[in-house]
Amino acid sequence: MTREALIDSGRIARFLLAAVIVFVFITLLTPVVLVVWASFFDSSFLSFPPPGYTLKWFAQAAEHGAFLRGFETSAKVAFGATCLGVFLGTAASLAIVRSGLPGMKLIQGMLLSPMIVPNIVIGIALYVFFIRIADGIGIDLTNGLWGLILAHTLLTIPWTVRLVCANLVGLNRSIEEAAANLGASPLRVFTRVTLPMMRSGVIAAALFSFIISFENLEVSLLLVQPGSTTFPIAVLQYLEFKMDPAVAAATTVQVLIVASALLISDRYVKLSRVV
Amino acid sequence: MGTLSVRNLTKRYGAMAAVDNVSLDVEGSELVALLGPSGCGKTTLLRMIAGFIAASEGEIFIGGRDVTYLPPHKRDTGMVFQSYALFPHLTVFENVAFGLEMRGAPKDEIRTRVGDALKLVRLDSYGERYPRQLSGGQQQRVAIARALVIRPDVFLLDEPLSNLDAKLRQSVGLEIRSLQKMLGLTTVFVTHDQNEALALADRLVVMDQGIVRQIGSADELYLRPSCVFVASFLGQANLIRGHVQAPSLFRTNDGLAIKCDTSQFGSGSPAVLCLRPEHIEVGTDAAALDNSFAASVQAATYLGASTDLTVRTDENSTDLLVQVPNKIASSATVKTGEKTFVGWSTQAALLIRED
Repeated sequence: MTREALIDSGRIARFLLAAVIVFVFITLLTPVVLVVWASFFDSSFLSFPPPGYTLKWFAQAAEHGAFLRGFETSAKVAFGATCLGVFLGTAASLAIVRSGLPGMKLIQGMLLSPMIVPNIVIGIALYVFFIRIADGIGIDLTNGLWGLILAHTLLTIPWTVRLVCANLVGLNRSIEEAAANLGASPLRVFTRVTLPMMRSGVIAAALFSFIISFENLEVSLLLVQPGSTTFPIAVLQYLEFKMDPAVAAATTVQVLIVASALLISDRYVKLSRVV
Repeated sequence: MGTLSVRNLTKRYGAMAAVDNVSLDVEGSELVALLGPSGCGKTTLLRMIAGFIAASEGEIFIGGRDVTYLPPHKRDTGMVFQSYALFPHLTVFENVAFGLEMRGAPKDEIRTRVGDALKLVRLDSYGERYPRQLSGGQQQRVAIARALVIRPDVFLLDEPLSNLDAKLRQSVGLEIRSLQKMLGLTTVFVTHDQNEALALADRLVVMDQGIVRQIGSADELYLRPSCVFVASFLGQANLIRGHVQAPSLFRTNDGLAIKCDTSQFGSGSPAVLCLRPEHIEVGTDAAALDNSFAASVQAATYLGASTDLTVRTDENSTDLLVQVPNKIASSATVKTGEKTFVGWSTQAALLIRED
C-alpha cells in the first residue's frame, strides 16, 4: 500500500470509530433527553410539538405524595441493600480471591448468578419463599422494608463481587508483603494497606449497588405493601391512570440525583478506572 | 556464625525441592549476591529469609536469634521488592514512615529519621508526592529508604534493578552498594545478572536447581569455578571434555595433549578443561607458551574493545574461542583463514569436575 493509501485508511478507520461512538451515545442518551425535555411541556398529556413550556409539573410531582414516599422508601431500601450487599460481597470477594480454598470459582458463580436470572423471576421466587418463612417461623417479610432490603441485597451482592474481585485480582501482593516486612501484623496489613487499596473497588460497588437497587422495579413488585411502595412502582402506578409530564418531572429529579452522585464520586475515585 | 545464618534450609513443593539443603553464613556488613538462572531457587531462599515462605526443613538465624518460625513482621528484615511495592495510597513520607509507625516510634523521631532516610537517597524534597508521581528510579530509591529507615538486621533486595533501564541500573546499583558500605548493612541481593553480582557483591552464591553450586568472591568464582555450571554461568569459557592421562597431562576427547595441573585428579579420571577466552594468546608469540598449537582463524567478530576469534587447531581440529584485546595502531589485525599459533600457560588451564 502506498503512503497516501495508508493515511487514507487510517482516516477512514478513525471516522468509523467516531461514527460508532456518536451512534451509541445518541441511542443511550435520547430517552433521557426526551424525558427531561417532556418534563417542561405545558400540556396535560404528552403531545408533540409542545404548546409551550412550564415548571408546574415539578411542583405537581412534589405534591404527589406517592412519589415522595416512593423516593423515601427507595432511598431507605437502596441504602440498606447497599450496606448489606457491599459488606457481604466484599467479605466474599476476599475469600474468593485470597483464601485459596477449593470451590471458590463455584461460589463466585453462585454469587454472580442473580445477574443472569430475570428479575421478575427472582421477585416471584422470593415472594413464595417469604410466604413459606412467614408460615414456618412467623416472620413476615412480604410487605416490609426489611423484606425489600433483603431482596435487593440479592442484586447488590453480584455487583459488589464482580467489581471488588476485579479490584483484588489486580492488587500487587508484594505491597502487602512489604507492609508485613516493615513490622505490620496481619490485622494492620489489612486495615492499613489492603482495605485502602480496595477503596476504589468498594466505592464503585457501593455506587452501582445503590443505583441498581434504587431503580429496580421487577424484584420489588410483589414485595411492597400499599402506601409504602418504591419510587419505580409509584411511577408505574401513576402511569396506569395518567400520562402527564409530572411523571417525566419526577424521573428528571431521579436522573439528576443519580448523575450528581456519579459526578461527586468521580471526584474521589475516577469511575473510568474502576468500571 | 554470621549475622545471618542459614542452616540446611530446604523448601519442598510436593516432590520438587525449590531450595535444597542450603547453608550460608553472611557476616556483618557483607553484601552477598544470590545468583542463578530463573527458577534456581534464589528468590525462594530470599523470601524464606524474610519469612514469606515457610521452611520445610532447616533453620534461619538472624543476629543469633532463631527466626525460622517467626512471621515476617517479627523478623526485622528490610526488603526491597522487584516491583518496588510502594503503598500507592500513601505519600513518599508516609511510605518511609510506615515501618517506624508500626514500631510505635514517637512523632518527632519519625520526622527526623524519615527526613534523614530521604536525604540519604537524595529525595528529601519529594516527601509530599505520591509514588505514581515519581519515576521508576525514584520509586526504587523510596523503597530503599523505606527498608533502611527501620535499621533492619538484614537488608534484603529481590532483583532491585531489573525493572530499571540499562543506564539507571548501573547508577542505582552503585548507589545501593555505597549505602550498604556506608551504613555497614548485612545484605542479601538476588539477581540473575552476573555482571550486577560481580560488580556489587563481596561474595557470590551461585545457585542452580535449588542447590548452592559455589560460594566465593568474584575472582574466586571466575578463576577457580568448582564445576562446569559455574564456569559456564559466569563469563565465557572453553569447556573441553577429556581425561587425565598422566600427572600434569590431560588428553581431550579430540586427542589433544594439554599440560596443566592435575593434582586434584587421579590418573585416568574424566575431567573438563576450562579455558577463559582472554587467557589464550594468538600469534607467533604463542608458539613459545607451555601449550601451543598451530592453528587457523575460522571467524573473527569485532566487538570494539576486543575481537572474538574462533580458532581451529591444525592437529585434531579443536575449535577454541579466543578474545584478543584491540590495541591502538594494531597492525596485526587477524584475518579469517590466516595461519597462526594459539597457546596458553599451564596456569591458564584449569581442570574441573564434570557436573
